[in-house]
Amino acid sequence: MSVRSRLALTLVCFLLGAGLVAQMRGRRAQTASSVPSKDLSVMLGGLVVANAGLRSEVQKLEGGIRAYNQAAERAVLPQMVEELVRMRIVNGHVDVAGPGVEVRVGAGVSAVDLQDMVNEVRNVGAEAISLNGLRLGITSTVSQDQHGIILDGVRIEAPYVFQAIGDPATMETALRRPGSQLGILQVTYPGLRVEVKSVPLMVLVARPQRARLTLAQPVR
Amino acid sequence: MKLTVVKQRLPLPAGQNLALLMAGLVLGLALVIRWQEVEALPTETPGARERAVQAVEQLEREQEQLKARLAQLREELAAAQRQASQDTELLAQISTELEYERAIAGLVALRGPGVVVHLDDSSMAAPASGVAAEKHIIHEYDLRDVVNLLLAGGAEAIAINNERLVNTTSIYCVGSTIMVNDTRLSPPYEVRAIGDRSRMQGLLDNPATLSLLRQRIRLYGVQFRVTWAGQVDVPAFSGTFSLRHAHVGEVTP
Repeated sequence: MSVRSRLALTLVCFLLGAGLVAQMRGRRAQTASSVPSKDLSVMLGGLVVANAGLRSEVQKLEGGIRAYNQAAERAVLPQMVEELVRMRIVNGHVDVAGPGVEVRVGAGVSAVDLQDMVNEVRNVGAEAISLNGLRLGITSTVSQDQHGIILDGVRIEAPYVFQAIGDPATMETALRRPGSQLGILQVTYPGLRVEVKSVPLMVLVARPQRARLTLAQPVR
Repeated sequence: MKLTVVKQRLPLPAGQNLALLMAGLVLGLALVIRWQEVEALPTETPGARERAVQAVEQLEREQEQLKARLAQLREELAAAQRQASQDTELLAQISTELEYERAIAGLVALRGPGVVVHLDDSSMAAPASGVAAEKHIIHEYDLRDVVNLLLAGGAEAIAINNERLVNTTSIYCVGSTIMVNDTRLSPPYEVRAIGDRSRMQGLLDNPATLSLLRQRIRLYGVQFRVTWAGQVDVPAFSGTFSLRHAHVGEVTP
């Protein structure tokens, strides 16, 4: 604190003391107009100091509120939520809706054929896939035993219905292309019933269980 | 010495110094007025008193407004602080969730016990083309079958030649090359999988699995080698997920 400030402070203290004495001597006033003239100036000084203090406190609080509103958390939250939604769609951890195609394959095909169909549907640009109502995940597998086809531990029966969300026209064209997996299936299984159709809107429900990593650890 | 202590304890902002200075001035003036009043009490000018009364009243009104504003701001700041701590909590929650989803999706490099399956074309002299030549090489469906077998054996993460398999990966053939994640791969192929050895080994060693591949291994010298390792590294997916048609309504952390 500078010498000037110290002097000012001393002066203020002195004058406030003097003012107090003056006020004690004077009558207790309800309004400024009833205050004796000699005390008015003391009041003026006190008010100026008090109001300056209040103004500086107001500024400090306004700055604090601004800082909270501009905090980094506020800025990154919407982006992170958006990315989380994207990841959950990719992982099949959330219900999704959108246009796409529906592919029906009749009875008689093997687990390997269905696995290859999954590969084919992914290849034509599917963003989310269900097979017989079960959403496919990164580790989904189609297997087979003497009783039939099993998808991720759940037994499924023909017709095998793939629902894939993506661009309907692109996917339908690619799936019908000569030499496609469906074409190969029809050659391999004469008389096999195969259908492909565009669907303007469908809903694929989330996988019943979320994937878990038990042995794999993130590399940091 | 005392002044030094005061200096340390009362660091006043510049604005407040100014305010004090002003106050000093005003009070100094007041003192002078007081002395004058004492000396010349009966001759007070009514105009000066009126102005002083007005100034006091104006300052009192201002003080009232400032106090009201201050109370409002204190409430706002408390609300902002509550919101910020909620945001921080939410941020931590979402951050954890995101880390998990990204790891599942394949965007995080993973390490763990597992297997490396080496596949390569036959080293035996093969015809330049035709059906016989086809028998000597590794096809995209061989890779698919190996991958599906590993998945059936509980593999948690798989990569082929450092291309991480994700939920949109397709393994297909264009001409004489195999495409994985739209990246062209050529032999030898190295399928790396993190997972439980006993489950995966049971399937890899079972002669009923990969029957066509096993036949070509036996008859045409197609190369197939399985190596178990306590530590297998699977890289992160380096591509992007194109999501233009799939939409979701809401998300809960």
